[in-house]
Amino acid sequence: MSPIDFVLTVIGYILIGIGAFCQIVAGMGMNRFPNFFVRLHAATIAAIGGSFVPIIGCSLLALSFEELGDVRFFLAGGGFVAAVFLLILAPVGSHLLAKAAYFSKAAVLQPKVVDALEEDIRKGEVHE
Amino acid sequence: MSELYELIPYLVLSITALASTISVYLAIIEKDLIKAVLYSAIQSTFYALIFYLLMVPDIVLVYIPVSVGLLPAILIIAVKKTEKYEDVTGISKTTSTIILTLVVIFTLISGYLLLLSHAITFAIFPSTDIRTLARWFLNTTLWWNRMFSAMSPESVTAIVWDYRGLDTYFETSVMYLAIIGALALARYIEIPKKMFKEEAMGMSIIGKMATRIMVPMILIVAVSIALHGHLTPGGGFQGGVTAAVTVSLLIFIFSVYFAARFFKINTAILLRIIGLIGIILAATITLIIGFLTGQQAYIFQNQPKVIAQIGLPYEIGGNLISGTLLIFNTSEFLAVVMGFAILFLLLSIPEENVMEVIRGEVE
Repeated sequence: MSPIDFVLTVIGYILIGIGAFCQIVAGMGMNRFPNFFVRLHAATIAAIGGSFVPIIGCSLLALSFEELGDVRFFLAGGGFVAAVFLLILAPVGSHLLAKAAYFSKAAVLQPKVVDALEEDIRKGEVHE
Repeated sequence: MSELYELIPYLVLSITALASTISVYLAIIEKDLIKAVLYSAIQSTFYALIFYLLMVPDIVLVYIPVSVGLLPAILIIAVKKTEKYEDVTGISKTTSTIILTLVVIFTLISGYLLLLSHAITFAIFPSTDIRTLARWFLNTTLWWNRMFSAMSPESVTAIVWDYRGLDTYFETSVMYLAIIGALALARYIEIPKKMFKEEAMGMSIIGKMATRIMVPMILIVAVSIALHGHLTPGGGFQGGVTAAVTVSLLIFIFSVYFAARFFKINTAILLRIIGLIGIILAATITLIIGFLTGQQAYIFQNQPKVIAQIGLPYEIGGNLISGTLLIFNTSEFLAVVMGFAILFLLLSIPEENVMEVIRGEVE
């Protein structure tokens, strides 16, 4: 195993470990957070920290695993593309969910500390 | 002796099936919830044995821990939480816990032994000849004998569009008739033209931007699924459904008025008819060639057969196209995308416009 492969393997395992930790944190958040919007925050942690990061780690592992031959480039490429799409789409989905829930008043906004969107609507900068 | 050896699996299968039926009956009539859960776990054990005898070891591996270990444990916890637990007499709390633990340990050990016997090819019950069918299909759909072959490594597409071509043709016709019916129901109803600015319609700009990035990607994947339908899992219908996602994304993210600006229902009907004409042409092209050259040929004929020596080329320049399968997949892709687009657009017409048309007709 060449030094570059060794470094890639170590980084891949570290990224997968970070992903597992993020999944556990997101699961705890989903259970313990009080209302819809902060729970959405936990769900986004699961999507980015728990899916995007370990997929990158898996791609690096596949790239460093020489026994696979040329197939490892296909595996790593598919992994990177999937990770980039996840990175683009997961925050967009959370944003649209949060916006729809806020404007349709489907989610109860309690307990509330600060609501910047409400202030903007009152000032007339944002229309529903 | 060997006959007796072959009879053993069927004997065990019937006994196991009978026992699982009895335990289901006991689980239903049992008033004591804990006992009912235990009967259910016993029935799951028998089911796992049946699954193993039916040669699906992967399902057994999932079934044993989930259905025998996890499900009864969750049910016991649920029974405990609903406070029925204290009222249920007969088995005390510790006894039921011990019984449950014994059941879980027994199933884990037996499942492990079954897996072990399978892993070291003990070959007690399941046959090692499990891949005969797959090997037969792979050999007949590709290379083995050109007189029987569909020249496609993807057996499903070969069966759907070559061996069972007429079935698939009528399946496509059913969907075509359904869309004709929807169009006939909505024949005077049109999508209203509204000259909103693009910013005033649909969802926020973040969603629109992400959709603009994703729609070409989805289309590329869909076309790739359809064009590789004779090589990899997939095909015309699957690719078409994938591509129809883009139309629904346009309608929901950008609003139906924006989608209707550059996607007319009449254009969609025209493209769908072109796809259907492609399917009919691919089905009858060998018949036409045979009629012109005076040879014998059949509809839905792909490769040359013994009594009908006409067929389409199965490769172009070294690339496998499997004769008519590629034309079928492409035409079906076009027809399915446009069919779903018509349905989505019709379903998203606001109710006021529909009611206007209906009242106008009545007056």
